[in-house]
Amino acid sequence: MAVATTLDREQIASAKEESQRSVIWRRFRKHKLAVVGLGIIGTLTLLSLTAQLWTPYDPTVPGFNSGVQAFANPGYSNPSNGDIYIMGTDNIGRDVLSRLAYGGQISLSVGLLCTLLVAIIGTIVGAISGFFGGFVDTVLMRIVDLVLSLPFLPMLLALSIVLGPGYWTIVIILTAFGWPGTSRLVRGSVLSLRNLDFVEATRALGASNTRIITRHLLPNSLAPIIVDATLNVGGFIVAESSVSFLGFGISEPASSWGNILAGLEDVARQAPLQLIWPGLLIFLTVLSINFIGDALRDALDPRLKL
Amino acid sequence: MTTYLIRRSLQGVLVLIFTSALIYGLLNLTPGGPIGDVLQKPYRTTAERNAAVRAATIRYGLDKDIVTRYLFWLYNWDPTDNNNPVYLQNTYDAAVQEMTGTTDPARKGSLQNIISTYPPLIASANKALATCSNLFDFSSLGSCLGIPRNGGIITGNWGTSWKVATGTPVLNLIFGRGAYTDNSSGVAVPHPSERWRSPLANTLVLMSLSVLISLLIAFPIGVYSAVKQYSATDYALTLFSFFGISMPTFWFGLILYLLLGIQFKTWHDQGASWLPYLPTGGVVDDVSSTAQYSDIGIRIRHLIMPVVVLSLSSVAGWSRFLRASMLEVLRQDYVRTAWAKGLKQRTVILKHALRNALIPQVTLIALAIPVLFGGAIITERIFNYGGMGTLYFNAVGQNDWPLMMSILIISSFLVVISNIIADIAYAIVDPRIRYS
Amino acid sequence: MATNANNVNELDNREPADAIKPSENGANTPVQHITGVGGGVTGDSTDYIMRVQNLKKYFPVRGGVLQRVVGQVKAVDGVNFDVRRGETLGLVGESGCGKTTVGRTVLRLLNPTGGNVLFEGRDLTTLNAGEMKKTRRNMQIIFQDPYSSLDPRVPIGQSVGEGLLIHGFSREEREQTVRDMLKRVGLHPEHARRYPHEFSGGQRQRIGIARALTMHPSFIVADEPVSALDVSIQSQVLNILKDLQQEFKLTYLFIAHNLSVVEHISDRVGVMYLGKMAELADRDELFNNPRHPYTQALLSAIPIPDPRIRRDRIILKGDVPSPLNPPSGCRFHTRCWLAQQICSDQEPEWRDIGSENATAHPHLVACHFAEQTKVKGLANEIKEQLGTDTKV
Ligand SMILES: Nc1ncnc2c1ncn2[C@@H]1O[C@H](COP(=O)(O)OP(=O)(O)O)[C@@H](O)[C@H]1O
Ligand code: SF4
Ligand SMILES: [Mg+2]
Repeated sequence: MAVATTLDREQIASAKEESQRSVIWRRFRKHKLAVVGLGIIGTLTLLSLTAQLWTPYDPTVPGFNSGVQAFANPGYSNPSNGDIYIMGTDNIGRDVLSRLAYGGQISLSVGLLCTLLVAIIGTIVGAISGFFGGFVDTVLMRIVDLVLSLPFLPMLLALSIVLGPGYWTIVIILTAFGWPGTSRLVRGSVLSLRNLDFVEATRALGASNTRIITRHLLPNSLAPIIVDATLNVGGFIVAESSVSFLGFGISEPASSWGNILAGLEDVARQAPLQLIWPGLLIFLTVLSINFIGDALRDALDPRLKL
Repeated sequence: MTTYLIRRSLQGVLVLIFTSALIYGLLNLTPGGPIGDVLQKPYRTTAERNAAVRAATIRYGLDKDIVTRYLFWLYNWDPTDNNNPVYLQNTYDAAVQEMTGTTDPARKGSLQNIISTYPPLIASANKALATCSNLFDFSSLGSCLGIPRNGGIITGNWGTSWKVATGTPVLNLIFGRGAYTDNSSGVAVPHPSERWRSPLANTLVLMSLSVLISLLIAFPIGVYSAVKQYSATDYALTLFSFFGISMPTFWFGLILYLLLGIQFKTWHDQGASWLPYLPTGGVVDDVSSTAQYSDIGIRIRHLIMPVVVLSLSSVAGWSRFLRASMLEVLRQDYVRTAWAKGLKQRTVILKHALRNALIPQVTLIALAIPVLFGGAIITERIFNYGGMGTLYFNAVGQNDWPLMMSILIISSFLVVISNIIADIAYAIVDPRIRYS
Repeated sequence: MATNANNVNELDNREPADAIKPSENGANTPVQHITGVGGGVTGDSTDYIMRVQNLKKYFPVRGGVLQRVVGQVKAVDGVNFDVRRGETLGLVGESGCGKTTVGRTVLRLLNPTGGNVLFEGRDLTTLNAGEMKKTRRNMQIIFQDPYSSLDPRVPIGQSVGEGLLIHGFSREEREQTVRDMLKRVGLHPEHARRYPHEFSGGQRQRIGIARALTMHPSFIVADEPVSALDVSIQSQVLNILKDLQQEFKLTYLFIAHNLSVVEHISDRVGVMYLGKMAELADRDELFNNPRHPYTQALLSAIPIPDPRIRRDRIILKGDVPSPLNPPSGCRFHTRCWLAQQICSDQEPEWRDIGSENATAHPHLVACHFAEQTKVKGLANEIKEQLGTDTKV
């Protein structure tokens, strides 16, 4: 072991015993706004998930006064039975607070579900395309180009009519339009990695393509995928609420933050302040997600030493 | 580069054909489709219902298979267009034929009517078609829009609206020509000769003003933030851009509408007469007044809120982007040296740096155009602004396929074109990128 | 923790059932009749671990409106050589001449466009995926760039042990072997859990060596393993490679872009020019009696430490032509000072012109005038032929 003893003298870069995850968390925490955002998202998710437990009224039944244009302002107390509507009621007398809570279930879950599906499909397609190249790549990327050259919002409305508005329609459409972006991102990352020597080395050791992709290429592409996915959540929530606001998304009596706003718009002249709530929820959620995404981008930046 | 451009253009044409086929196919999957309302009407007898459904099916050409219909749409004329001489001739022939067999006096009367009134229509339709046979004769383009030619959308015949303004050529709707009745509002739209009543022009004005304003605001913000990186102002501006990016357009629009449109007017009327307020909707105050369409003042007042709403997210996004690219340029050695050497050189180099930082912006603007078009749908819907967005919104709501198809194709075209522009801009910026 | 140095050798003795044993396949017998100018004398009893015959690797170039294949980079274009068991074959040539491509193609990390690679007597190009996977245990590669050759997201212990994992060794075996290998290349076994960025370039290169050796291969392609390292560390890594060769009875295909590196480590040296072999001979034979004009030019460029000795330096005219459109005939004729008409018309044969030392291995050259290029007359000849282009 003559070699070993001589070489031991060479300095080993000193490194604290710290796992990668805790390094990322430490760097993430530096972004105070992102931490606040995380808190906001957590609270909203919790409140929505537990809506069944704490909401005062049925979100689909006009409790205050059935009939058209039977809205109530925030804090309204019904003189006949003493029911109090903290955030008032919507255009046909349904409790806004309860609708918002249930609407959160839909809006947040659409955002998360689409993001998950898009991340999965986009990653698989992008990895296959970037790794194998050639004909497969050409075909897949032509499909991606095609989808990306469809006008997003106009198509969203048209497809919603075709499939019939509803929860799954929205999820399917948003996923269909979302995956190409992610797959391009993953493809680019895989392309830049696949000719690196460590991939060749793994191949030389006898690794299968699947192993190379899942154990080496994807873990090295994870940072951009995570950041992309985070920002996607916000994008999908806005897209869902826009379409629902226009009346082509989640349809009554189910509530989403977008269609609640549309309902309140009908009575905007009489009860303008009620418009604040649904919009504020969308805004806060998306803002928080954007802060989180930004912080993650920094925390996961491969150029910064881990 | 020329080869590249040729290739991209060919690809673009292919993409448009593909896209249109895809959209056409998807639309035809819609349950009920354009005859949905016919199906839902109450009928006295099944026979009556069947007859009505059959008539509607023929009217919208749904009796033909989808490939035939698509090909018709693509390169043949609208079979039921009242400006189509062949269609008119066929109708006339059929009436002459039927005349010999019918005994019903009422039916006879209507057939007689066709036989007597159609010949001049046929003659004028033939004449119009003859004078407008060359689509590329731009001197007659204006008067020939909407006249069917021997060919479908690829020769400029975009079909006629089914529902939004039944029977009106789609191009007339898009370019705001000719009188028609807006079926959704029931408003009879007169025939102002104003160029600027066109929904396409309205939307283009809205979009270009938005791009312009966004640039004018984003530009100083981005540069200032970059030069004063990590200053308090930089942080504030960063925070502002995060707000702008996260703000849902429709909510922001509604708030502006309520505040500047309604609340300000209320206060104004209650005595604060100094307080200006903005119109809450429309392109002009009075749709039927032709004069208002060319009144810049009125038009601008109606544009302020839509432009602001449409610009918010691009101002935020672009200022971030400009800040980043400016920072990148500023980090370069020659700029740092100049910074150290003093003011005179600094300004010279800054100008240089700025130009380098600006070019990538072109890519961003190009890519933003389709997004703006989408945003226009929401903005126009909130402010009831008579542009392509409103037109599309109505078309989707009423299953007006010819109109939907046309607007979708126009917006796909926008996407394709802006992608090509973005690529070219990218190549100009980055000499390492060579297209061949 | 008690480690014993014998572990490494114990692993050596383990012969998993699927390992390819040279003796079983008959290392040289099936190859003999295919050999043309591969280097060996037909019917000799030399033990070849690898024989490369007419190897070609072209990369397509796309262009035009339709992105059709409009041309081919002939990175390797008909290369012949043999590698003897236990030797170090140096492979030298200017950057871009196709050395890396040769190294990767003989390991079938790239699929050859044409030709055969016989490894332990079996044609690699005909192996199916399963057989190829088994064969990979016996042939490994060490890379030039210590930074890109280790996965930054994987602790180095895992990287080193990945081959064992792929080939189904148990966890204990893996951990034991990884520890031993790390120690063997001079690193602490405890460092197995660290990530590549925590190591210096030289350390990383040693980790790469450890990874290549865990499965005890018989054949290693070392693709410029020290070119990216500081001069002070180069000899250290070269020494490790030498020690390991003795210990594990390794055969090296050692790639370098100049002759001075291979001089110390090689038994035989091959010189490549623009996708072709120019000359291949024993190290001493090649250095003392170079016969290909290109080899002579390369040799004349090696700086000599002793200032009293003056050597005629041959400056080659022009640039290396593009492998997209290589010159006709002898590829070197655009820059060769001996070029005649025949050189651009006819490709020189790859032939054995015999060594000065009779006991040595064949001296292979691809030059029409190999007989006339005795080094002693070189200076005069250069003067006669070119005059201005050479400083004498
Ligand atoms: N994947 C590839 N695609 C296209 N050309 C390649 C590829 N790999 C190598 N080449 C070309 O093949 C030639 C030989 O390259 P290489 O084997 O890396 O040379 P060396 O290792 O001797 O420097 C070069 O001209 C190079 O540009
Ligand atoms: S064959 Fe001709 S050109 Fe080639 S090396 Fe020999 S002398 Fe030079
Ligand atoms: Mg190389």
